[in-house]
Amino acid sequence: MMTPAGVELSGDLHEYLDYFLGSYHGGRNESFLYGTVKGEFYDYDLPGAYPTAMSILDYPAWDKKQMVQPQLGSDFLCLLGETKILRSYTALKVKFEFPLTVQYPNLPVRLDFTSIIFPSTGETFCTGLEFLLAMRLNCNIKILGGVYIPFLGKKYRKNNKSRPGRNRSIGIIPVVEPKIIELINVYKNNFFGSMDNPDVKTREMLYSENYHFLKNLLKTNKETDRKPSFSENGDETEFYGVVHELLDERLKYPKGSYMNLLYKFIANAGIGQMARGLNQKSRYDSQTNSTRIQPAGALVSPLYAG
Amino acid sequence: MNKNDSSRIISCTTDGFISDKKDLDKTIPVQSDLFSSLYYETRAKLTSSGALLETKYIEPKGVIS
Repeated sequence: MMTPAGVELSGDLHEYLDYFLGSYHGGRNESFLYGTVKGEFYDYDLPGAYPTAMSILDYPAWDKKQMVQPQLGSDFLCLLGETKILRSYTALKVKFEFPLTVQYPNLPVRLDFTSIIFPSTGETFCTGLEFLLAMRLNCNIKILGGVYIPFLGKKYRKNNKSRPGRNRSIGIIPVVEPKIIELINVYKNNFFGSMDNPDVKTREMLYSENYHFLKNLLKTNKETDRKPSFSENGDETEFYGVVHELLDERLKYPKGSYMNLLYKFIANAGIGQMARGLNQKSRYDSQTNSTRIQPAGALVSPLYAG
Repeated sequence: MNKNDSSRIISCTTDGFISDKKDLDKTIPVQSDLFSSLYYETRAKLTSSGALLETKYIEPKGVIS
């Protein structure tokens, strides 16, 4: 897209894509103490964090997109309220200052190309959820600009059975959306369905996250077969349906078994695939035995990844 | 943990953290916060288990961070 023709042909995508790309920082991994610390410590974990978060997502209501003008964070929060921001794809550029009493600030700031810190004051891009948490921590925020795209919501889904984005001829993100459904179904129907005892080669393919492998699988799936295999009653998004189905499948197998772990892996990999290639990170490629920049995957979207 | 809590967090990741606060998985108020209640309700709907946090490991002596 980042060519003269690409920008012109992208509709209005160029106006706000930067906000979403900028607000995607990847996962957090931070130490607050250094050295040896004596005492009893507990390793706490959010069970199923990634699939649970993914299940809350919804398709964006593109026609309700709004650019966010410079204003105080408190004004923006008053205008929309927490629930609307929670149920949206929001990306903001902000200046912020946490109270000194906040020990663990939550807004990520890029220190350089590889390091991210979470300082008490600074300027950064953030998502709507990060903004909400910062406001709950009494952070003083000044919004410099941004974009707000609400979720489609169940009202839309009840009245429109066709999936949004199908008929858009221009744009990158909407075209990608239905593929999450397709990919999971292709995975299941063409591959995992009859595979109770995968051999070593198959196992290697499964764990290699090979883009071309997935792409070829998609090609083998006929257009007429591309239907979601779960029912949609209007209350649950397609994202929820995918996650629910994967968890159901997982529970069919004993804890710790190969298939149980495999379904766990697929559910956890969903969010990763939505972010794949966004950072242009180099990864080891077992096919070429070399390091190369990871290409974008079929499911990549900075809206969902953030 | 940001609310005048005297306990410490040694490190954190996107989906977990290491702390010296005991039994947090049993005492965390799941319904009182916007994020925890949303996560709790979604998790309960997905798995019929409402656990917000689980303890993966207890280190009795200390940690090197």
